[in-house]
Amino acid sequence: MIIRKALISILFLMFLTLGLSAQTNQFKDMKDIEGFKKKFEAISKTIVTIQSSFSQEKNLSVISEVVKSKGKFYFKKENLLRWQYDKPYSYVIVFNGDNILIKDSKKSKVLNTQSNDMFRKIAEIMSMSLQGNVLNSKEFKIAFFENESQFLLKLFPQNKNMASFLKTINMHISKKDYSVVKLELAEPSGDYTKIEFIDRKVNETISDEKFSIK
Amino acid sequence: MKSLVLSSFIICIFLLSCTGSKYSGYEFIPISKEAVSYKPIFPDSIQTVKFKSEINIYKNYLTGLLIVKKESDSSLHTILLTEMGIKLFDLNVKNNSYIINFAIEQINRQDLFDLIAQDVRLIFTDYLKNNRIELFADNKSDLRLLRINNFGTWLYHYFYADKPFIKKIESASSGNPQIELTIEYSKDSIPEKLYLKHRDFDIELGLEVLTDD
Repeated sequence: MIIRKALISILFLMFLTLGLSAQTNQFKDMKDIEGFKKKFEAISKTIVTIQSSFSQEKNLSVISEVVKSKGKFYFKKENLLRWQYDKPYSYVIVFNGDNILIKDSKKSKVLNTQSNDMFRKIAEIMSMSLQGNVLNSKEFKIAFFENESQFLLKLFPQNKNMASFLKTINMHISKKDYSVVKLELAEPSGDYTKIEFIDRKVNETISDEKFSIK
Repeated sequence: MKSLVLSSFIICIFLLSCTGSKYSGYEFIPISKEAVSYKPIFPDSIQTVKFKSEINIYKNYLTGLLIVKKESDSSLHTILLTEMGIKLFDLNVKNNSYIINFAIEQINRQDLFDLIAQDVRLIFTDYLKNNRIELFADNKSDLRLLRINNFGTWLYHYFYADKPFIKKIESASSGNPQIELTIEYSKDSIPEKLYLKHRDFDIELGLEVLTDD
C-alpha cells in the first residue's frame, strides 16, 4: 500500500515537472531587457490613438464553463479610454480624466474615479499598458520573458489593496510591432481573466464623442 | 362568571379565525394546499444562473455579473464580477449562515453581506420544502398567496391560480413588508428579470437572467 502511494506520488511529481518545464520552454528570461524597454517606450510615444476589438474570457473554478464577452476598445492619449462590451449584453465604460461613465442599454451613470479606488486602478492599469508607462510604474514589480514571437511582462502589484484582488498581470506583447496582444489578470484564488486584442488600428482618427461622459 | 368570560373569549377567537387573515389590504380565505400547483423561481433542474446585475446601495452604484451556483451541500455559491472580470465578492450562502471566501476591501462589511445572503436565499430557496406553510386565495381574483413562517419572519409568495410561477415575494416582520422581490417571466415562463428592494435600507437590486444564446 505504501509503495503504491509512493509510486503515485512519484508519477504525479513527474507530470508536474514535465508541465513546469514545458511552461519554461515556452517563455524564457528576456535577454536584452534594456533594449526592449527602449524600443517599447519609443514606439509607445508615437501612439496617439488605438482602437481594437477584444474577446474576454473569465475562468472561474466554481463553474465549469468560461464566461465569455466581446467588444471594442478605444484609447486616445493621454487618458481617454472607452471599453465597449457588445456581448453578452451592451455595456460601455468610459474613463475620461477623473470621471467614469457607465452606460448600458437603458441608462447611464457618471462616477468619479477619486471616490472609487478600484475603478481608478483599472483605468490606470489599462492606460499604462497601452502607453508603455507601465515600465516606469512603481505600482508593479516586473519580470521579463520572451519566446519566438512574443515578449511577456509579468506584473506583480506592490500595492496591498491591489494585490488583494490581483495576483499578477501577464502582458503579452508582439515582437512584430510591440503591440499588446493579450492580457491575463490572475487573482489570488487562481481564477483569471484573459483579454485578447484583435484587429488593432493605431493612430486612426477617433471622434471625441466616443469618450464623452454626457 | 369566569366560565362566561372564557366562553366569550373562545367565541371571539373562533369568529376571528373564520374571517380569515388580512395582509396588505387583501382578505384571504384558507384553501387546501393540494388545490394549488406552485413552482420555485429556479427549480432544482437549474444549477447555475448568471445575471446581469445593477446594485444601488447607499447612493453607490455597482454593475456586474452575478453568478449563483447551487452546490451539492445545498449552499449557494455566489460571485459578483465587474464586467471587466474583477471579482468583487465570493460567498457561500447556507440556510442560516454564510462564508465569505473573498471580498474586496471597499465592500467587506458584515452588515452588507448579511443583506446579500438574505436576498440570495429569498430568490433561490425552495420554501415548499418548508413545512410551516399556509395557502390562501384572494376572494376577488385568482391571486394566490403562500405564507411561510421562516424562522420568525413571514414570507409571502404571490402567484396566480392558472400560472404557478411566483410573481412577487415579500418578506415581512410585524405585518410590515421589509423586502419586496418582483419577477418578470418570458413567454416560455422562464424568469427574465428580478427586482429586489429593501424598504428599511437604501438598497435596490436589478437582475437580468443571462442565457447562453
